[in-house]
Amino acid sequence: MSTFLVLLRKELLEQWRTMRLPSFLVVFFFVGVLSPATARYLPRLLEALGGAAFAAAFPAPTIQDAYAQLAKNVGQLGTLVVIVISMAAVSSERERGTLAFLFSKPVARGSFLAAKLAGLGATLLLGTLLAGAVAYLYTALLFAPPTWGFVLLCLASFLTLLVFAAITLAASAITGSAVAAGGTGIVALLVFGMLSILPAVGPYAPTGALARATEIMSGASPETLLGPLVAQVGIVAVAFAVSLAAFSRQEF
Amino acid sequence: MTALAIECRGLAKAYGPVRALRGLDLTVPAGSIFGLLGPNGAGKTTLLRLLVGLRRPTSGSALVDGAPVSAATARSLGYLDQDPRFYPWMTGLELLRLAGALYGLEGAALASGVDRAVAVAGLAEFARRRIAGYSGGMRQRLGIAQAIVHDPPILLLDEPVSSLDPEGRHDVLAALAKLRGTTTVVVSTHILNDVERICDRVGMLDHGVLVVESEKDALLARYATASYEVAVAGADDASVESLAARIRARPWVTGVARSGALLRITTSGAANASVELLGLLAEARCPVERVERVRPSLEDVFFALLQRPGAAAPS
Repeated sequence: MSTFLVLLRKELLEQWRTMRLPSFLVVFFFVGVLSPATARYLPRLLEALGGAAFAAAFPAPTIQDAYAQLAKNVGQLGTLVVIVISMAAVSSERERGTLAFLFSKPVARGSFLAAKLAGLGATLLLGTLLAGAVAYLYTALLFAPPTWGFVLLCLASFLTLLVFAAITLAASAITGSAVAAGGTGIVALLVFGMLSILPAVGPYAPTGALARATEIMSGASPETLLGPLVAQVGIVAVAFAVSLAAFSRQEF
Repeated sequence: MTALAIECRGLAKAYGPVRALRGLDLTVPAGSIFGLLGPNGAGKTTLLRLLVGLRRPTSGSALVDGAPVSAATARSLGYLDQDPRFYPWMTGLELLRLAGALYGLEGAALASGVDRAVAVAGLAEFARRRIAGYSGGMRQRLGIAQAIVHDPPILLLDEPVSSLDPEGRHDVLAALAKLRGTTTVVVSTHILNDVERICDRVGMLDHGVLVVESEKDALLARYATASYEVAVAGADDASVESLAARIRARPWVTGVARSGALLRITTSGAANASVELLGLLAEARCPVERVERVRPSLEDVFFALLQRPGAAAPS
């Protein structure tokens, strides 16, 4: 078995034993449940609280609201959770002293970081699949069965989360501090949030790509999503390359 | 395996203004058990970390089994850190399987490597427990086991028995002694008795400089001085001190160290001492329990070479 696979197995076992994977799945289960439910019942809830005058301010909920709510929850709550589970990925190993255990063996720095990213990616993929499946079911129950474009929305959600995992992981490897890594992830979230409102680059920012995916659910051409998805993969690749370059120079 | 397991040439490492190693030239013959001695901050841990590739030299070179230090040479090495840290959520067995797999072991080879390492390190009793509950001694045993799981030709052990109880220390040292001739073992330690017991070669570092590197027996012979121990019986403090002063005054005495009623005397030669020492004691009318000529220990050599106050400090 290659070093990468040995380390990936260790990453997945660690995420399971330290409850990071179960916690992430619980959060994403609720993201899947609450997104369509919020879109369906929030106007009614506000109407009940505010009376008939309030009701007029809210149009009747549509299936598009459910998609938009899912994209919003993934882009905000989801990314914050991803930043939290990624921020100590490398720095905790440095603080615990386990990097000396690993790198005294024939372990390449690239294999180590790739296994970290792949481990986080696997967790995000499971979370996205769970949230997607649950959201699909509740959307079908509360509105109507989503079209095939829903798969693209899930793909965009996964890549958005992976971008923040890669950036936070890179900061964790470069700075060796969980706090600095978490801060970097938050700053990236804010910067990308600002970029996403710019017409030229907005769709290529992670949350912009999510917005573009929801537009496809309203009938926009799926081809418009290709560029933003490739951009997300590019951001992940750049974050990985930068972290590898810096991490390879470090001593333990 | 080449004739030299380890070869350092002009190896230097600086941490900012601190020069941890200063142009170290060191060779370790294959199959030997090499004791690396030195006070705190001498550069022992830095040297081992450079050899295993955890740190990079500022200048100079290090060869492991004839090849420059790299990920490939790490395959030939087993390394125990001074303060071994592992994943607390794993069991000891899981960690050993991980270590073995990282060295490329699979299937039956991995299983037998893990079994052998568990047996040698005396881990059987707690190998299935989570590491989070391990004591310092258990972690050290696990550290030794993970270093030998792939049966490496070269073992680098940084303070391998510092956290072990006497029984554990005895077991581990006996296991290391059995490796003589088949595995090159470099042991960094403060415990000179352990080095004296198992090592056949010794290197002493001080402030990043190799003070001496030699076969242990040759080193002891080279620095052998005639030393005597005198145990004074039933005398008061002043009388013992007065006796020590009388002995110190003799020209053939190079040092007298006192520990309670025990005097350790080093001399420039046995000829005068063997004739005059008993006369001196009789003259002082000091009741003596025992007079013995003692073999110099590695500790004496250590203190002499590093010019630290020790068992036989200069008078």
